[in-house]
Amino acid sequence: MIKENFKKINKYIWEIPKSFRHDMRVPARIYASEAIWEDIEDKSMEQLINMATLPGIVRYSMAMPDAHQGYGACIGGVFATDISKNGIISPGSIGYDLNCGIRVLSSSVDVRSMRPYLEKLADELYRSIPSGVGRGGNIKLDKQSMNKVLTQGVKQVVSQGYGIEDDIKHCESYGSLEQADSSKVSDRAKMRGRDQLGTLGSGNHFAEVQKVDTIFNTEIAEKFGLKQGQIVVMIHTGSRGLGHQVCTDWVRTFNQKLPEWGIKLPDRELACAPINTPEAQGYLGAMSAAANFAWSNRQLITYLVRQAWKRIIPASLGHDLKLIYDVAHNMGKVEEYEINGKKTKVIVHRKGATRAFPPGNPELAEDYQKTGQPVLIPGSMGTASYILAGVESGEEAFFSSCHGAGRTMSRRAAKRAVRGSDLIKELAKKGIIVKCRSWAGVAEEAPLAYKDVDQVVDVVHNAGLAQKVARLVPLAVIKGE
Amino acid sequence: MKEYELLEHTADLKIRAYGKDLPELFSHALKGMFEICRPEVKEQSNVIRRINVSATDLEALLVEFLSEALYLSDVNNEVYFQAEVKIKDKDKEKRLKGKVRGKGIEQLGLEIKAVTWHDLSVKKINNHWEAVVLFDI
Repeated sequence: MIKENFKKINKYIWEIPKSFRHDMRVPARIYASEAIWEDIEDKSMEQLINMATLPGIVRYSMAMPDAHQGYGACIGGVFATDISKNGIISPGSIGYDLNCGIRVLSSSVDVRSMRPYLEKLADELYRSIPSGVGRGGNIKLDKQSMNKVLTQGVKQVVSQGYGIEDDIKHCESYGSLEQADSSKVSDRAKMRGRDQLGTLGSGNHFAEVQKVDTIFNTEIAEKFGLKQGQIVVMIHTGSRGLGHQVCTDWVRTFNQKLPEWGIKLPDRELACAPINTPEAQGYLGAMSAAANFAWSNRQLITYLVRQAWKRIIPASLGHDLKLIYDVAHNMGKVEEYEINGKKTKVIVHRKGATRAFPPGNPELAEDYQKTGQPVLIPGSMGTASYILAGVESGEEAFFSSCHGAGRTMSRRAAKRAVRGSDLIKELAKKGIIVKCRSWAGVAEEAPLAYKDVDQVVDVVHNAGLAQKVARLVPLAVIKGE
Repeated sequence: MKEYELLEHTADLKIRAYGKDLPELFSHALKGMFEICRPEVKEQSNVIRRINVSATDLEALLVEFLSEALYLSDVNNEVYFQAEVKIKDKDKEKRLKGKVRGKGIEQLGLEIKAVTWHDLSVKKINNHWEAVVLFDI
């Protein structure tokens, strides 16, 4: 058991020293409570240790409390590499679904006024938002439009009428990464993405109508535009086939070059490139373009949600759906931190982890300067979600938070344990509507296959990674597939 | 001998495929990959696609082959259950050439995002071949 070699260094951090394995360059850490630590799988900790071997890594390889095994880096994994020391960038440590992420829209409707319209709204959302899986979506991009989306992200789709100016400032990085280079995105990736803008995908991707159940911090909640009993809409999706192909392409390229760069890895999925190589720069350009595509995808779905809302909800209740925030949870970012007393540019890899910038960070829009960045954490299907805010004490973890509840059970085991149709009945008893295309898809995402999101978020809050602002509970779930 | 079986993984889907030789092994891995997706097929729509990939080792060749099939599936809205391929297994150069057969689809129940390199293996055990591959869901 690898886990036995971790030492508890405070109430919420377990650490394994770099002396544990000869190829580790830094210690590895996980944020967890006693209860969460007990259920952490050995395999995910092996992946966490593998991350600690990557060239140029600084501080620690880290896992958030929602950690579980993935491929290459564990899910909930965070680490940073020093650019000045020719640290690496690793596509498999960011994920195939580049800029998979979450956005939340706030409404002016409260739960009581929503009740008579909820079923109709759920149906309308289900009809309006395609999963796109196996058949594409409704928007076809020609080559020129595709390159504009890849280069400019949300700005481009907003300029085409799919949103409002305020949407842009409430996206992480304003929904557009400058280093995006559409020429580094293969024709194959563009081909896969050409009809996938405005589609949800499958697995755990969803759109959800939720109500604000609890407010933990009134002052910040007010600044975020949240109040008790209010209806909000959450969207979870990423860069679809385009992003998947970008990652596939560059993992292949990096794997072929590893011998030339003299890099030995414990797992081929960690394939990486020293940042000053043309290959690393190519990936950075392509990854950023795929990230722009993902933000545009969530923007297009927002457009579809707003249209559906207008068709169902009377204008007297309010048609405004304001974007609170949009945040990535599979991403590589160039950020600056003090490492060994020196300001250092690093590439922060977050795979199934959410950026959580504190108050005063220059990247945040003016209205979030005093609150810190909204951190959006979806729960598993039928369970609570959270909105938190970034805090100064998160610096040690490169201002990162968990990205969800985190799985504890395989899809197969979940299907053995619960039937999709029974689960839908059970959720209906709690007043939660589920719209889906397959029973199996529902069973695979059953709450029993996930950790308890309340416990996971409590660790994030208590460990000082982010502070709780509001708890949201689902009323209607529209699953991708 | 089984064609393939599902293995346990917390978040993603992992299979072990079997074959009497490499072409059969690759064909069964292909079938496993697309059956996982729970496709709703168009019965009358038989399709054939050509695939030609190369790599420096057999594991990489399997990833290349399945990734190519996944790409073709995504852009053409099809799935493939059978491969008829020739595999050159020289020291530093592995080549696969041939075709995959399948059907057009209405939709999929689950989407595979990618074929990963994690815990990947292609091995000859006694007189048959086995491969383990993990798909990102």
